Amino acid sequence: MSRVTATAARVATSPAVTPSVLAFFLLLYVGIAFGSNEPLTALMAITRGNPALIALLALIPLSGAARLVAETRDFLRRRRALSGAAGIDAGGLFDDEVALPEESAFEEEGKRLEEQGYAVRAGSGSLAARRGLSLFPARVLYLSGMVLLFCGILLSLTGRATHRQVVLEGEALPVSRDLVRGIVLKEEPGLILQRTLDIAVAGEGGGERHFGLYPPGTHRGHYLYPRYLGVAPLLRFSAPELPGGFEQFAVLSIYPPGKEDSFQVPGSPYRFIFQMAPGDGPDPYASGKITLQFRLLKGETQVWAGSANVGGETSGDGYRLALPEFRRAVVTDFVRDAGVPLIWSASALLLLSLCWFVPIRLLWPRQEILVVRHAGAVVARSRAEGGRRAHAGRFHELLDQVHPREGGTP
Amino acid sequence: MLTALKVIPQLLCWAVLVPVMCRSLTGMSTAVAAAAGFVAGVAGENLLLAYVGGELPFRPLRGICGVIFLLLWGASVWALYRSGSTSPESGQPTPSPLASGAAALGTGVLAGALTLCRLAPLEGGAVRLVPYLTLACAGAAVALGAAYAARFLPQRLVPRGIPLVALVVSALMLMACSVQRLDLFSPLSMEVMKFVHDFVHQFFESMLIPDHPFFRADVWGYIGLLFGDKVGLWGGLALWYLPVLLIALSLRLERLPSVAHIRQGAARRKLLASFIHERRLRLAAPLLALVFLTGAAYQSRFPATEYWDPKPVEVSANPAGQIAIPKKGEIDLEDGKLHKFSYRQGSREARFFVMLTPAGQLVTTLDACAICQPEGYGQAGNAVICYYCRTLIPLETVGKPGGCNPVPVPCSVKGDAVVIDGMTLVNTWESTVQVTAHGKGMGK
Repeated sequence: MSRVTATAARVATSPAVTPSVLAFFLLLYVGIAFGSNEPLTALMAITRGNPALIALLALIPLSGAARLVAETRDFLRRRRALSGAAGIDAGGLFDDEVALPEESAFEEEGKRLEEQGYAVRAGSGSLAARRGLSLFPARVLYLSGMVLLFCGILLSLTGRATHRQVVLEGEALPVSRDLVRGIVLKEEPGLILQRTLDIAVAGEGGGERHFGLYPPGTHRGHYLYPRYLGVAPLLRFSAPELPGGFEQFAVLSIYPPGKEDSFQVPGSPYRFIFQMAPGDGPDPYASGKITLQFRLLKGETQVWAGSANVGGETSGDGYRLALPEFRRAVVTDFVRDAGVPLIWSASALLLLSLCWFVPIRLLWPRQEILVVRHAGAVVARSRAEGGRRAHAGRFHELLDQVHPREGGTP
Repeated sequence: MLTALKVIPQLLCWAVLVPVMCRSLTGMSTAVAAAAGFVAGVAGENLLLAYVGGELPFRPLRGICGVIFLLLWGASVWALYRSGSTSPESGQPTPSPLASGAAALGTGVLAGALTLCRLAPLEGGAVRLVPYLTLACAGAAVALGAAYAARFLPQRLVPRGIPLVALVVSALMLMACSVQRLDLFSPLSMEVMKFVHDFVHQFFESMLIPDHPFFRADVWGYIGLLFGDKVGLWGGLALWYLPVLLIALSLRLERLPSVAHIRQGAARRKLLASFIHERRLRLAAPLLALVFLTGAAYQSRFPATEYWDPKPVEVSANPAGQIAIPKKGEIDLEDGKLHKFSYRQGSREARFFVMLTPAGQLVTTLDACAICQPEGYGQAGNAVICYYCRTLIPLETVGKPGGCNPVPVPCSVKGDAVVIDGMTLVNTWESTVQVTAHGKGMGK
């Protein structure tokens, strides 16, 4: 390996890379926070538009991958050394290493270590003892999770595209002829969600698909992310200045009840402000028994107010409003984002890593001893995940037995 | 007498800091440099107060305090990183006399300037001559006297390297946080709150998680804790203490020396016990730093200043929905103080205040900002303070939007009255309070 390659490998596998990059972004965040009320959003926008920052952020998954490779290599080398394989240089793979004189006899010490709960493997010129489970699987899961997490963040930052559209009963989904047959909201309390939403879509080529709340379904590579519910009543409105009247479906984002939305009557000074009345019974959006409360403004002056049931009508002061029918609507974000599955996968891996790490680290951490006779010396090595002192004590006792006189080279 | 009491905590900090620095660095010369720095800091800051005025003398000091706190964070992460290293540095290198002198001088300048700011009048201007000279002399005397006291400080308790930096920075934070205009803890809490709101919002958006109408009420209640009024405080406390805790952890995690080459169990145990004992003693500095930081956070949360905070007067609108408040009625709106009012429209209620800015303009703003929980504002001297995040807003900027400024409400002066549209006021209040109470886009 050339000097440059070795340096690059050392830098790539350095545990300082991730904290350094994160510290840089933290400083950037602090700087932005002085001038913005939404520094995180601003930081994301700045990073998205800056290739240098993207490249800097990409160092984290690259370093994670490099460390995964390096740590796997070390793990396999250590495992081979413990299994008695010849020609393995175990230097740097253990916490403690002592060189003893060549005459030190360790071959009889295996039995004593077995009594102390170690699984012992004695070979020609070597003695390996181990107990407990390795934290290496947790480490692999953790590093893989970090790589996936930051790959997901990078993909999400650089490639996310969102279009907000209204999905309306009886209309086609955007950029297709797939027809929305029905939108159903149900009270079905689950572990986390209180309601379920079902958007039934008849495919252009036949068949039916259903889109729910979570996990979001995909339509032509876009996630359907329901944001707000709304209704689209058919408005029939007439006023003294509009004797001919007006009729149109008006998409109103007025769910949950109490939320207001306005509708400008085209070509007139009139503007309706609607909200859904809460009602005493079941959810009005789910049941379809909807009462709309409205205010009618002419310019900035309120000229009429009242309420009307969907399917009914109301009139007063020369104005008349009828709502003969309505359709359910969902204000939906169509999101193309390849990072989402990676981030969720990363969360699962990190959780699994934690589930492995905590019990093993607390109850049964890996402890290893390896004594190997080389030409001219005996080298004793020891390693304890979590740095348990009891294991170090047993290692020292072993050394006392093997070579009771003062000496040895640390 | 009262003036002297004001700076006692700062001088006590100084009296603790200098002996430690003398013992850790280069003895008497450190004390002399620290004393000279203190006097220079007091004199320089008073000159700035006298000739520059306004907020300007405080800004660089606050910036420097922010930077050294960030540096402490960096140092703590570095210390933790080194503690896990398989080849820890052997001992701390002793700084050169020049570096020691510069460090002591710099600390002295900052300590002097921060202590003087405690005496700065709220209405602006320099500190009067007697307290100014007394403070400079007291600071110098404490520093020089500390060189004698330093002899009695056990060598094993003396911090070096990063633990010493932690102690110095935390003492300076305590000095800074006792001056409202230099306080760092409150802005930190506010930034944490903004970050949590922003993060939760971005997380929901990025992971395509549905909005609150679809959630079970109890689950949303737990998520709602992140938008609660104490998130900023607890998050701020975590960030405040964490660097020192990380330094303490790095000391605790320092690897024990290898004793495998010693063939006598008793000798091994003695060596390890001695190392562990030394390691425990080195925790004294981070523990003292934690005490300083606790004092700083307490000063920030419970400042000694009393605020002008009148009870809101209830007002009503005319049939056209206009609220008219006379400029010179029972309340004089043009006296330079904030005057609070409340307006009720059915079940909806809004709180606002009217005040005359130093530019001579009557402004109307909500008694809430666009970021924090609507706990309202009080007035002290030439600033108003947000009670939630303790941010001071100069009177010159009241009526302008942004940051933690009170949210402006359009108003007009018609004849002898200030006129506000009731509907606009209530809508602005509701949209502001809804956002700050539930997070952006999550309570709508």
